[in-house]
Amino acid sequence: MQKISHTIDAFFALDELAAKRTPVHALHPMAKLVVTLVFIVCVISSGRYDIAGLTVFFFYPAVMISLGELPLKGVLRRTLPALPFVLFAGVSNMIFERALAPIGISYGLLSCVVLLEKALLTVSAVVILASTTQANKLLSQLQRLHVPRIFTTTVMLCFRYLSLLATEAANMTRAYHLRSVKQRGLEMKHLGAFIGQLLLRSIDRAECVYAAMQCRGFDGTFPSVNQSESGNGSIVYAVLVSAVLIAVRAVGFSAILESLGKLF
Amino acid sequence: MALLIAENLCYTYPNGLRALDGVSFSIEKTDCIGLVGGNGAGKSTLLFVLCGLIVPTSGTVTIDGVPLKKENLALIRSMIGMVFQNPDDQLFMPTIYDDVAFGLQNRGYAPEVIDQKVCQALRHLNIEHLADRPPYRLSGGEKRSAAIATVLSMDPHLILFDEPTAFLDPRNKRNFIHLLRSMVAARLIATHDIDLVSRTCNRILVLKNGILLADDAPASVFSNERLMEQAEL
Repeated sequence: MQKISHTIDAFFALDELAAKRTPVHALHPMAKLVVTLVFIVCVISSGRYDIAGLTVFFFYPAVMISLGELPLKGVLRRTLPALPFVLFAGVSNMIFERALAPIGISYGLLSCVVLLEKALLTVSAVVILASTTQANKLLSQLQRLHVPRIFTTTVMLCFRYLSLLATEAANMTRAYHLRSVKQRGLEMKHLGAFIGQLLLRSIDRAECVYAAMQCRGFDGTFPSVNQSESGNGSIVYAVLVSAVLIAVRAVGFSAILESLGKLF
Repeated sequence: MALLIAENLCYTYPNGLRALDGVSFSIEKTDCIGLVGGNGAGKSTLLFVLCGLIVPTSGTVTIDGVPLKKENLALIRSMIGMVFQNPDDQLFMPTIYDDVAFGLQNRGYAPEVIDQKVCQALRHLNIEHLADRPPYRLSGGEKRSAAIATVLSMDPHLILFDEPTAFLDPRNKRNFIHLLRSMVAARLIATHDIDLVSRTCNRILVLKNGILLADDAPASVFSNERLMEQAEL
């Protein structure tokens, strides 16, 4: 149960990171959301064997991690769990595509590496977005993009109350262990009653929370969050970074460098 | 004119339990009233009825001349604030600042006004330093203060407290008593804490099994041993 509490703590550490004050955190959430979406689309749409083209995109997370003062370890810890799933898909490519590519390895291995790269880039971009933007601000922007309110409100409340649910579960488990003779953890025969009790407690808690919200004028929709983040700077950031990402994806980094070389 | 007038309030839970039985009383604008009674006396139910969270089976409530009806709920809730027993029920936003601003945003105040009122409420409770902290990282006393700030920021005419000292250590309880005394709004405090009500309230309502046994000054109530025993206090 301590493990669950630690996991939940790690989950909420993301929100604490998001409360930092750095140039990246100061950007408008919509700008960060748009750039992240553009980045993901650019990465995903890259060629299935285009290792070099994709590698350039690592600049984006590297710069954001540095400017946002995010712990690299923390970003990797949240990103890496996605890789085994992708690896599973990539391995099948290695079986079916055995022909050798010009660089001396099979196309299957090449596409597997590209898949892993894509996963690493896209997941890290989302982790960076979540680590530099508070959840309520992000959800409020999703509402502006017409994501259904029922979805954003539910996510918001789940996000808030996971810690309470974990505390409730931890308290129940502690009480269980103190009276459990065999000390072998939660036995299967008690699992149903345990989960049922947790559900009932959650419902009670949910009713109290809803009552407290009603008392302060809640009518089913969260009030929109006032964005104090810089406006013009964010627009410049969104346009500029999106343009660079699209250019890198469309014509390639080396072509851009060549053109710049000719210009100067 | 009294701020709140409750007349013949009755409430029966769906399982048949009669939680309030003909309760009538009034609250003046500067009153600080203790609502005492044993477990299951109907204290919390009465608070829930007064702020419109549950509809009484019969009886009426009028606040500042406005009858408590479904169509008046928004107005009533702008006049009454409630501090819940468990502060975790009341703090649901990412930071304390957001939580204190929640009710004001729902009322549609301008951002500058919200900022001003939030800062004022946080200052009043000496918790300005907690503004950017998430609620789940606070101690019990800090959570209680933050929960009160969420209500104070809305400038209610009447504040209802449900077991306000339940999670407080002696030092925080002392601070809370100071705070209660400094409040301008009328206060109704449902509690078992006789020490709290004797130090802060000018009137006591005694409930037992949903029936109002007494409505009197603290000295008269607490010196009446028979009444105290009857009310399981």
